[in-house]
Amino acid sequence: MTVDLTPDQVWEEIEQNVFAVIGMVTKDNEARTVGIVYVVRDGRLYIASDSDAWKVRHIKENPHVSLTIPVHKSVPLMPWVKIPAATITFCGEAKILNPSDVSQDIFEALFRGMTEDQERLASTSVIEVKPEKDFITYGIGVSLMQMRDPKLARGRAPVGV
Amino acid sequence: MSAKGSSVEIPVSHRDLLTGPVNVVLTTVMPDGQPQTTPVWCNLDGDEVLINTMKQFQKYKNMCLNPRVTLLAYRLDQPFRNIEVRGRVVEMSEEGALDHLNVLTAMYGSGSEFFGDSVDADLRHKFDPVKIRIRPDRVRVEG
Repeated sequence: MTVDLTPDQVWEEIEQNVFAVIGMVTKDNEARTVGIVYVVRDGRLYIASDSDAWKVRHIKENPHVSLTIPVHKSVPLMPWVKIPAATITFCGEAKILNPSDVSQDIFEALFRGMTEDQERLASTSVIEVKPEKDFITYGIGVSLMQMRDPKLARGRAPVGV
Repeated sequence: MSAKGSSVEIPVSHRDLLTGPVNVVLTTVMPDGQPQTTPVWCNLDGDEVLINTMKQFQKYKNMCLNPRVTLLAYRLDQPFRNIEVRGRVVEMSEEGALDHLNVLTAMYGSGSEFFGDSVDADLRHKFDPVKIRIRPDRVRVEG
């Protein structure tokens, strides 16, 4: 049994957060992970990166990625009580774009404070991630007590876009 | 699998991120070559990372097929101070796995018994814990 979530519920949580862990596979079939900051627009996640970063290189070679987004949970007035972070996990396909390829809105959200720095932008890429299949969640849309029971805390929703 | 050979060192500056309670995401490789990320609990034995999973879970099956894994550990309030451990699974053991899971439960959860405190006690009959030992090949830190 899993929690029935709508795609909109999960997208709302994703949009309220900014940090994710992205998993990749190298051409030698080895796993890699890195923390990233993202912005969300129209069912895609966008990440700014140096063009020569290894994550860009790996994604060019293998566009399949997996992301886990942590969602902070705490007991009101009792922040010392240990509650595991809720999570949203999904797989997706990534592609590498030039900053000039994204809309002005995405560009400004990603490059706030450096939109005039042409030299820096010339060495920067944008990673676009399109989530696929289902969101797998833990602790999303449930109470803190329900998070203790995996049967109640696990959820799934189609990506829906 | 047996545990032999040398390991790279986990830097003192970031050891706290592997001794919980923190956020740890494990990436394994699926049979079709795609990555799978999943949250895990971990602790350290010397410079080797110990995690725990269930034989019934996909990540266990992935690690049986491809022992090269990576994990990223961080605190949610300071995610860009993090450590990525790239390594190989050198041991998968059911012996002592429940005891290890209970140690992790005391570190990460509330209580000291995984089955009963963290999850329903009835689930003990459905899942078989496995202790996984990861030997680092390379460690990368941020922050």
